[in-house]
Amino acid sequence: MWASQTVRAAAVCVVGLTGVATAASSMPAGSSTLDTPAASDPAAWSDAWLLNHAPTYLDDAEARRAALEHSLATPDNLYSAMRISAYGRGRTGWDVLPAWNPSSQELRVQDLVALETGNAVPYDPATPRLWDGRRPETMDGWVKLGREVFFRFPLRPEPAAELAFASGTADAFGLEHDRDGNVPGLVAYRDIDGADQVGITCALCHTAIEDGRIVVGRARRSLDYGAMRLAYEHSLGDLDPGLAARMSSWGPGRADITEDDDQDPVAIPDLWRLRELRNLTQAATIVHDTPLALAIRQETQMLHASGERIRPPRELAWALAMYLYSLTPQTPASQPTALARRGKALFASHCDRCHGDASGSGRAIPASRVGTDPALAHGRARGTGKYRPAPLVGVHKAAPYLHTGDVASLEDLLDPARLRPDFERSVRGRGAIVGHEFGTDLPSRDRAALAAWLRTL
Amino acid sequence: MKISLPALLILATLTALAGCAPTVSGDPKVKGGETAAGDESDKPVESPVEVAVGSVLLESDCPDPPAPGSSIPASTAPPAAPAKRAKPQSPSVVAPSEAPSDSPAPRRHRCQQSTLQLTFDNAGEAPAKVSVVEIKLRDVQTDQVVATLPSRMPSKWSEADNAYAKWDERVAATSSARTSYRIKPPSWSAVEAKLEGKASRGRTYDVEVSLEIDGVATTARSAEFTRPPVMPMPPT
Repeated sequence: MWASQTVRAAAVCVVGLTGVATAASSMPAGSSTLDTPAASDPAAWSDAWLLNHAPTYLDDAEARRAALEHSLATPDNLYSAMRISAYGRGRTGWDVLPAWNPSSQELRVQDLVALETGNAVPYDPATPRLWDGRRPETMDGWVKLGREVFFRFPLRPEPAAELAFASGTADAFGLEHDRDGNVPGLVAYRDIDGADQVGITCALCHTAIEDGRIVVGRARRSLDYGAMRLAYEHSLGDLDPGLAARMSSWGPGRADITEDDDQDPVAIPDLWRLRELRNLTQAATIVHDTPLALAIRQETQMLHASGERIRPPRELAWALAMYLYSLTPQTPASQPTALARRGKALFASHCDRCHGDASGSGRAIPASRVGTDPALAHGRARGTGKYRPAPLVGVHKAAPYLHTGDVASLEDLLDPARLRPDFERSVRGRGAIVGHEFGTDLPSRDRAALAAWLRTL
Repeated sequence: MKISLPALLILATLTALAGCAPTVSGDPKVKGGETAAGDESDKPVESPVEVAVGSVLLESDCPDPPAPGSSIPASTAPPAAPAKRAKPQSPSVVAPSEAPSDSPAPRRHRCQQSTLQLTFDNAGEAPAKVSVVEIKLRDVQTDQVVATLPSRMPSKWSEADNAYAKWDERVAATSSARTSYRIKPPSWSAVEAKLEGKASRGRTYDVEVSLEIDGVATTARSAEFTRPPVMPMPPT
């Protein structure tokens, strides 16, 4: 399954992304030293290579701490400072919190509609815990457990989602269900204080419903989290006008989950072929050159979402990372036409310098060079001063574009008209969409060729 | 061992990172009877109980929930029937002041309770009694105590219940207790007054917890944390 990606990932290392990434990718599993790999070591990012890292993450506190520090692009933002202060400290800080192996059940639409009539949260106390306590030994085993985490680990209670179902507005907010009535991303569970709740999981933002089926890894671009929250707050009365304005500005497919405020919503990303990405988050907050970087990111996200009162068992964070590494688009892109083949050559000469990875991403670029809204890149929450070039896997279905989710189509992205104040087709209304001007200076036939090539990725 | 030039760059980066990183003040995990500062000249008898601060969360102070294990918040009107409930439900809720008093199930604001998590490891052969005496909030930049934070409702993690449960502040012999206390956050305007008008947001703090373990005073200090620079969206 992973053979082709493994070869491509290895090739990425050969051509060299950064010195740091290349050297760190060759760090042997079970060690935080900087030895060069033996010839017999499995290829970087292969299943075997990932599995070799599991004991390091699961059992070696010092290695986890070292991996955390190595994975933070800068220690200065809130995301980094919080983790440097409390993560991987062994006998104090987050390491001494209890490990919570939750009991939860995925919800079906009829469960949630029943709430409208005042029925109790449909949690069955006999529901087994998410994990049976046995550590998987194969990649298939980790991926299977990771799927459970993705769909069932409650990140936090979400009364706004409950209300949306109770008031019949769930569809309008993008709380969709598949043809069998499954509502991905919502669970009934017993929380860490013993109360029954409806909560959200990773699947709420990172699955989509297409043709009645759940597509795992695709961003839920119909999810209007801000509007859903706004409706809930409005139902309580006494709504702060500033909050209302901010929630209204989010729009479908955008959210701000950063540590500081709610004013910089970004487009929810697809989660395809993460093994090939060398930076995580749009602001390139995390250097991703070993799987520990992603596992720590998941562990601390789950921990922080729970009010820092519990941590997930590390096996669950590791399993989630392995599951995310298994995600790849199921829908084939279009076959290259003659126009697209011409676009490929244009891509190589105009785009490849930044979007040169196997995934179409690449080294982080200073925000001033990209020219888009700099708030996220320079924000105190996760800012590094840079942006990660957007991965291009399945980009034809990833509209709206740019990290702000402002551009409706690939054609608009390349159209110089969007840079003018009278541009009418912005997702967020009339006005210029500045930045990422690359390609907008090409003749229209070349822009069409580039768009045709992008549709094949 | 061969070290390439990129590897050396990593090493230099890591070293720089370590040098720049905020550090936890003192050793937050101390044995009962020692002080966080490790005052060697006046060291009391060492206790077999170690205490460590797991985390501190300073958000709101919410109405107390019912005893752990119950699924109905105390501040919610009793359900009309066993299968019914107020919706949405939460263990920590604040009723809007303008909610109609005759409403059977008013919808509630979410409320994120401020908490302190402590872990006690008792290596001794006898149970130990612990109590939190005082929690001081310290502004790291000025090394100034800017507030004291009252605590209440100690609870202990129960593996059997998979949840925090009411706790009598006793740690059994040769065992650990992972605990959680509700705490009252400071008046931030009072904090800002102590900071001579400087904004309390965006600043770095830690807490020093004074405890008694079997009658012997001890302290533990948390990791440093930053109050978000801007009010985030209401917690969910």
